[in-house]
Amino acid sequence: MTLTIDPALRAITVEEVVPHAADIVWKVLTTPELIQRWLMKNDFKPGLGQHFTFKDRPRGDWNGVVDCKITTWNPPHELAYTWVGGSANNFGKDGAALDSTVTWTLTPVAGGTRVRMVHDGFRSPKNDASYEGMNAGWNTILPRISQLAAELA
Amino acid sequence: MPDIATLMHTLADPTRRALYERVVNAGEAAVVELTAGSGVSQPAVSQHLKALRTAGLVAERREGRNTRYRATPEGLAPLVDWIGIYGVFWADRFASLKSVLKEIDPK
Repeated sequence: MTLTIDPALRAITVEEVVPHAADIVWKVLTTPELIQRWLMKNDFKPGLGQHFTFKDRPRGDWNGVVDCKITTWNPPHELAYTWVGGSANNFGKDGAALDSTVTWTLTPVAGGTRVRMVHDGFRSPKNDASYEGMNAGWNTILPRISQLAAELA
Repeated sequence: MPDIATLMHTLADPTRRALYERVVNAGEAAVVELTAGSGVSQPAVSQHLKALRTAGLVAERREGRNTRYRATPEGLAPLVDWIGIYGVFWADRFASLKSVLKEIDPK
């Protein structure tokens, strides 16, 4: 797995080749019961322009609901939806306000499918002067770093 | 500023992470103090401090014959920044996605 964060800290990209056909990957990306198993509870509805929500755990005064609208629907190649949620009061930490887009691109390759996910539209200390919560939450993220480092290794 | 991958790899070592937490909690401390009761040899502590310094997580200050270390919270910015949190989030979710794929499409 390759995880990339762009230098402007506005987008996260995760990319990996999986040993499965694109239509299988598409099914896992677009079937509510399957989405729930790897991402979150949801009421996903297939098709361009459809609205749906993800239900995450609440943080601060954010109820944990992520509002989405499908902006690209091109099975089994490309899927994009808006990802809007969080609270301005959580700025600089987990549960921050986010008006962003998630784009999935599936490309058939030898032996499987290249799966690329771009989550774009972040605000961060580098591009927002109001950021001040730098110390908040480092102790909550540290325990998860080992796991991620192992996955990236 | 070190990139997020460098920080992750630096802090992925449990011994080094524990040492880093000791430095954070101590405010400022010499190698000798950081070694006491840590269960790790002094040369090992020094090596880990060097790695933490390279990653921008601790700074050193000479005081006579001693060097004292303190945590530099700004070094954690790339991680504490919640884009880092989402980086962890998506890496986790990708791993789960692969498990689901493997289950519904076993080879």
